Amino acid sequence: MKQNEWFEATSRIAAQYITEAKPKHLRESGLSVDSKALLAEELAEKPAEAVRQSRITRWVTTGFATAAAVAIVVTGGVLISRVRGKVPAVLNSGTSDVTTVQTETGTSADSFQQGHDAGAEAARAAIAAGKDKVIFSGTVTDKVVGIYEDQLDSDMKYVLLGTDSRIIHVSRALADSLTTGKTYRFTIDEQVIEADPFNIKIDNIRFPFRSAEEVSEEGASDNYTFRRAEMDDQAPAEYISGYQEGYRDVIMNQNPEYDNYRLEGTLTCYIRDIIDPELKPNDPEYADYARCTVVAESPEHSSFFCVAYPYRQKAELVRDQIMTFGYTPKGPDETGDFRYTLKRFEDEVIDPAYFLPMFDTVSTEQVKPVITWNRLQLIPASESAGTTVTEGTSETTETTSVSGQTAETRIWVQGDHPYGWSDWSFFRSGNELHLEQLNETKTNPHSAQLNGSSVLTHFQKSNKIGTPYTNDIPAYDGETQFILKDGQIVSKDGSRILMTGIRPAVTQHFSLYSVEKFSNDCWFVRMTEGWENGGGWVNEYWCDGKGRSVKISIECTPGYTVIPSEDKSCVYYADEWGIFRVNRFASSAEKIVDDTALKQLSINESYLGTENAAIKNGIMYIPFRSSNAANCTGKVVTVNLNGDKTPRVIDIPLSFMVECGGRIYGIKDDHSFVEYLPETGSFREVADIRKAGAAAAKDAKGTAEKEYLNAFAEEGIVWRPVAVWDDLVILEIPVGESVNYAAVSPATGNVQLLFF
Amino acid sequence: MNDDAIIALYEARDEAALVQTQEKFGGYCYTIVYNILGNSQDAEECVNDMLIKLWNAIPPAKPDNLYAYVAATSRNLARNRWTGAHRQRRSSGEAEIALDELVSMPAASDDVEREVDGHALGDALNSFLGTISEEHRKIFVQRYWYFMPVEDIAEDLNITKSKVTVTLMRTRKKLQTYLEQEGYL
Repeated sequence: MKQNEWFEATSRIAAQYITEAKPKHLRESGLSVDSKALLAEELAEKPAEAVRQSRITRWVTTGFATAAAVAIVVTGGVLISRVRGKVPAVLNSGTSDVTTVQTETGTSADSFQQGHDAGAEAARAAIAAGKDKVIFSGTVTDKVVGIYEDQLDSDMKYVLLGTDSRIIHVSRALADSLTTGKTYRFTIDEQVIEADPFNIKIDNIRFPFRSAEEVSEEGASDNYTFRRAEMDDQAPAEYISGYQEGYRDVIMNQNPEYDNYRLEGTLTCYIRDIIDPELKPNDPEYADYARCTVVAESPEHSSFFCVAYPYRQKAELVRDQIMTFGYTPKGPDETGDFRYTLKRFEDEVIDPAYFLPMFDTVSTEQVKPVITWNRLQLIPASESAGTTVTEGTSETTETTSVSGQTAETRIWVQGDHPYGWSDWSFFRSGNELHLEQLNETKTNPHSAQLNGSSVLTHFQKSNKIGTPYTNDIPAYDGETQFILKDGQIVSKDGSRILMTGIRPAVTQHFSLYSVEKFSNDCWFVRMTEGWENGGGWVNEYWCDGKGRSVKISIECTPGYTVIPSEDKSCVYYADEWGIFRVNRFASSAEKIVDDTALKQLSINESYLGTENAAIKNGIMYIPFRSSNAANCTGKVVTVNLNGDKTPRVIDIPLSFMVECGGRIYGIKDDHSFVEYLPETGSFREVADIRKAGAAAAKDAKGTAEKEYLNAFAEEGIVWRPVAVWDDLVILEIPVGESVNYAAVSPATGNVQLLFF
Repeated sequence: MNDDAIIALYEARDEAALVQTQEKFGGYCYTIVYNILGNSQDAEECVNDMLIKLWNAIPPAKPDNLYAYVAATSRNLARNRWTGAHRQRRSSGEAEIALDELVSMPAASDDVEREVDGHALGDALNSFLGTISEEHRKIFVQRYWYFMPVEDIAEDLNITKSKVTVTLMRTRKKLQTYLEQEGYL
């Protein structure tokens, strides 16, 4: 049989089977539909009164959102349409004050090839199908001068924002003739479409940083002033840094040249260049890649990165698609704003018209990725301090009261969970310890004391029903329990918002992992991001406590946990690529130890990660392990963070090291909890997990419990510390197929085994 | 919004029906038609066409299973477009590959083949699908109705690609045997 016969046959598969096999993972349908105009037109042709009287307004902002862009340019009285990729539906048409703007033949037929896009194609198709025109209409809500006279077409000066956030470009003359609040109808015919000049893709732009008057007064300038503006964290931004791909990026880096200032925000722009010169107008990717962003890196990176990304779908980006722009920081002017001269490549001054900082692009769940354009923001350091923090209130869990006076730590376990991940959370209230687990079926935790001396007076585990990524389990910053809810990290009582704009892609799920308070205006937040059926990663964010946040771009896998510096001014992480520092509110890491320096230590075969590392007196200790588990190698890398940062290896047989109450502890020989004395390089044994197991087994009441504790005594290997307070360390100890814990008091050496 | 409510909007000629349909089913439809057409612009237009179809069809149509109705409508539209593109050898969707897999199933004879029309074969397919396990049926339907790439099926069902491939191969063989037994081949 032939293909079409099979096609026909499979088309008749029963509805029940179609529904049964409904895919869970959907392709991202991208953005608005080019043929929306056709749909609108068809609907408009319907005689039904309901159609005539109703609107399709929500088309644009819901179903077909973000990139609604119709640019209509009048050149010397000749209307030239730019039916850019996403044509919005007819809005608010059919009213009595609709004015039809007659169109005439365009002036540059050849330029259509340059400006080919799907929207134009759709309009052409409509005309080819017998329609004699394509109609767009909308209510003029504002007229904003957004483009300098000499930076684009000499006659394109006004941007009008319609009620649907649609942008219409017209000449100054035409714009002057239009009345705000009135609805106009633009008719475009084939000639107009053919006359489409090069593309400029402008979507939902607001120009919050300049009023029309400002532009008029200043005129064109090589210098571009980025004024302060509120950051908008409501929506994630697609960004790229190297090969990384993400959903949101706001760059906030320390400015080394201006210590009193902090650079915040992201300058993100569209440029009209087609990034990939190999792409031809007829290539389907053409329209996708025509959309570019410029991401302003911090001054210390000395460049802007211009990136192109496929707009309709998330896709891999390659480094070659990154264009680099230089700039010259001139420092803050008298108003406190920061001036840049943007330069393309080396010397060519970028026409600021290429930089159309955008803000508040329409955000919908339907359209992903959603892009928010944040702006560079320079804030005097004095302004950034002193954020008022609402004190957290006492929380009540299902099992016990948590007073909130001590810290909580969440651990992240990858194991045999049906979803591939488990989510656990420890809460501590005095000498009570509570462990919350998600979807955990085991019950009845036991605790056994060593030498009759309790570390904890109470240990209880509670189970949560739910799925990972839905985040029933809160994260606790020592004062407030936070949960992930409705795309925000909020306190459980809803009184505080720590972070907003968490909008995963269709197949992604977010889960709150940890919240660490660094100061009254700085939180370090980790979220797991992955797929429903397992797999994922951990992403880190800085939050200022007022809902604003910065995503940190760290190219490392989960397990390479990030540890804070002693003064909480930054965090560090290490992996095979080096050792990195991320300053507060910085979006990217600064490499402080190169991987070549690590390789010279001849420990290539070992596993290096900061999850087992400790910092004390400016020295970072990173034990090397032979695998991802403990497996002590006896080698520890040390780095003087305040000194030359040269990595050195010292022989310390510790599989992890942790700072606790001002002292450094570690696990020696995989089961002995010891204090490390850097001054002498010696150890002091504090407790021994296996001895604890053996001692507890002697007092065990039941046979099963005795056997279990004996196994604990024989097989117990400490994998890692999972929760650390000044007076208490919780160690993770797998025995058999179970993950168990031990509570250790560093001060007394008392151990309490916590097992299930 | 539930399906009945959406249908009620159509019946009331309320354009909110289109929005609701798009919100609820747009992703599915896009996935279906994209798999067939392999082109985002075509797929988007197809989804749009689907909305127009629904607008024109409901009422009088009142689907029992709106998802299936929407999905089938999308697929049919995509099929038409695919057929046109196929004639011009411009198709690059997954349908081409998937259908080739079915075409490659040996047949009894050309004469018999010609006797088997799509309708009858469709009925036979449904009967056959009722005889296999749910998982195998899902794999089969995802591959040959949704034209999902093998990788996507594996991800969707949380199984390995090789399992998908092997299952498809075995199911095709079973289908061939079934069709032979039923006298279709």
